[in-house]
Amino acid sequence: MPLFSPVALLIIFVTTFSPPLVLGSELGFLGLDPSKLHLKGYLKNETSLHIHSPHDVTKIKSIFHLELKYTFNNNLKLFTLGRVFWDADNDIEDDKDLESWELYMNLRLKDIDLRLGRQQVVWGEADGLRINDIINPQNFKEFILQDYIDSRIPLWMGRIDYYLGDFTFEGLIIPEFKRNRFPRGESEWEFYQPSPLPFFRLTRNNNKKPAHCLKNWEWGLRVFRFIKGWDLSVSYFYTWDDFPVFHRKIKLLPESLIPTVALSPRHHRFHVFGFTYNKVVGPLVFRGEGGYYLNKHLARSDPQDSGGFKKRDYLYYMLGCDYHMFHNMDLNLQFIQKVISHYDRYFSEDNVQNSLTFFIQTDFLHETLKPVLLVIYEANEGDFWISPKVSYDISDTIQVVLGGEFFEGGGKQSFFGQFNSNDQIYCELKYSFDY
Amino acid sequence: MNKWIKGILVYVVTLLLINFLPIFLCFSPAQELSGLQIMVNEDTREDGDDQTSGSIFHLINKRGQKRVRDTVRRWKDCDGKDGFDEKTIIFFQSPPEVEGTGFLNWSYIDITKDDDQWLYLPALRKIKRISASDKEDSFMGTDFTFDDMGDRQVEEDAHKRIGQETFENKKCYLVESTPKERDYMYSKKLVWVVDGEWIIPKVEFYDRKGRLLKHLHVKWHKVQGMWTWEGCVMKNVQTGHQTDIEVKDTKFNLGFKDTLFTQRTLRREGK
Repeated sequence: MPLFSPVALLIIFVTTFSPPLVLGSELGFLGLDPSKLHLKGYLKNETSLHIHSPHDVTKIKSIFHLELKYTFNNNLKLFTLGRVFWDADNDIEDDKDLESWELYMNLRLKDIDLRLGRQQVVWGEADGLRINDIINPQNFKEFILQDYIDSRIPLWMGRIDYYLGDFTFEGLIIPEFKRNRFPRGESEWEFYQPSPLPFFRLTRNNNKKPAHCLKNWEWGLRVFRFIKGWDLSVSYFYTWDDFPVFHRKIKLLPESLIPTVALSPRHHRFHVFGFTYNKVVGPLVFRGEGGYYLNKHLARSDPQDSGGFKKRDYLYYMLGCDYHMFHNMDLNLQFIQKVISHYDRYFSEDNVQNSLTFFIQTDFLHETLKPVLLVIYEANEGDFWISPKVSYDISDTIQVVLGGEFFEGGGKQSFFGQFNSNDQIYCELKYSFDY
Repeated sequence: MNKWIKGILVYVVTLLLINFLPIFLCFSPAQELSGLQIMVNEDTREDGDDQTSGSIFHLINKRGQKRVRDTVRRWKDCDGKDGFDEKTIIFFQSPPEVEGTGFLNWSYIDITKDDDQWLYLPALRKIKRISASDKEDSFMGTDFTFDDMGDRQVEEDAHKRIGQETFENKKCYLVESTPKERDYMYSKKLVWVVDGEWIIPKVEFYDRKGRLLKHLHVKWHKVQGMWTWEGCVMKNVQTGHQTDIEVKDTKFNLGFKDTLFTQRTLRREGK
């Protein structure tokens, strides 16, 4: 199977190796200064192979990523990026796609920074999980194996930072709603979905998105400051749930003796009150974050419930520590807990959910060889994900990565355990460029 | 007659003393400078209130393969204001993989207090707090450690003047600096300090076993009347790896405000 179609190869070659020439003349024609344009990007191939029999190839994905930055002056910059991919293997849905694109303008005034456009905003301290980092929806097409920067779905929004003394105030207005993207039925990464009511016949209705109107906009505020060695922040976010909740309607049709359950995926609003902190003590960095989720709709399996869900609050928090060891070796541990209030046994999720993450990285050969290990353990079900990888910089622009994704423990319904048969090894080859 | 001769002799001797005493003094007290005084002179050499410069790091392995790191650095001497010693912010401009990465460092007058450091990672779109790096860690994969890049304080070593030598046509003091702490990465350093200019054109680093590990050669030039690096070569003689630094666009006393050395700048200039 070819990695790139000939036409795609030609387009990529032309756009990669001739942008200064092409864009330079175009910009000159538009009255813009080509010297103020900065362009960079990469070409990457990701190939994965199942380690279990029949050892089939699960992914041959080629990615072309391009970023452009135009600096009008110190106070005004325009930024855009786009990433397209083409997958020669069909396990992942949509084998060709514009995976992500951003377009925003940075405007700097005296005490104010303004960023308008399609963008990603990242809140929070946690690595590898999202507590307050829920501004942008996520693409789960490859479960959670993609880097967050690649899996977050950019949104049209306005972000304003106001600096007052030692305080920074950040405001967000998000007119656009997008839900998380999930893998299609034939994908190896399709999530396990428990039957809402066993022995009932199921029908599924289409997902209904919130209407485009002012009252449906998402918005948030965050205040942070550095005080006596502590980085502290508090935040509030009024958002839509990017995960749908399935509204349930039970019908008894005359032609059937088995009751039918109609499921309608719907999105609901909820509030998140968040906080973050970090503090350095010698070689240790203590950091953490928490979110109090107010009025979150949670799925239930009680047949007496009318809709199949109930509103509940929950506390979701992380306590973590980074340890800088000798010779560029870094270690990180995180404890994560989620506690649902007013719990009963009919909720799909456990009352208290505990997780642990462990991360270690170092480097050799003047930072050209970098081994990394990430382990996430879900204590409730005993399932875990082990993700080791080694990257090597052949040169400043060419990097090769070898790694593996291993899912162990738990049952078919557990978060990682459901993918026990998806253990795989992978190889990545990346060429970066910069003009 | 004798009175006349005596008078002339006294006059001549007085004249000689008046004329040649400064020359004599110039050599004599300098020869009596201790190793510590020489290193203090070097440390307190005028280097402005603030500075900006670009540095291109060429990392060359023993097979001659080269990697390049291009950075822009801004630095401010805080003179102890609010307890700060100095603030530094560095942005990476290449290679593309790390372009946009920013590093912010605040150091304090109180040497028992660790520096505060933050890193902006464009790949994560967020600022990460980091602990003050191990002084023996490599700086960006180069042959320099954080200590080599200037983090080390004069009082952390014992300094002994062991001689004088002419190096590149300049009269230099040769100072042996041995660490006061046990099990430091170097057993000693030999430092060449140019008399009067108090700049360091050459350093030899010896490993824990006393074997020559690295040598550094620095080219200096004057910008706005102040000595500053024009470039340097640090070679590890044990591995054959070397780092060449080319320093460009150095400017002093631009009146940088404290607000330039904040997380806002990291976030805004990072992407």
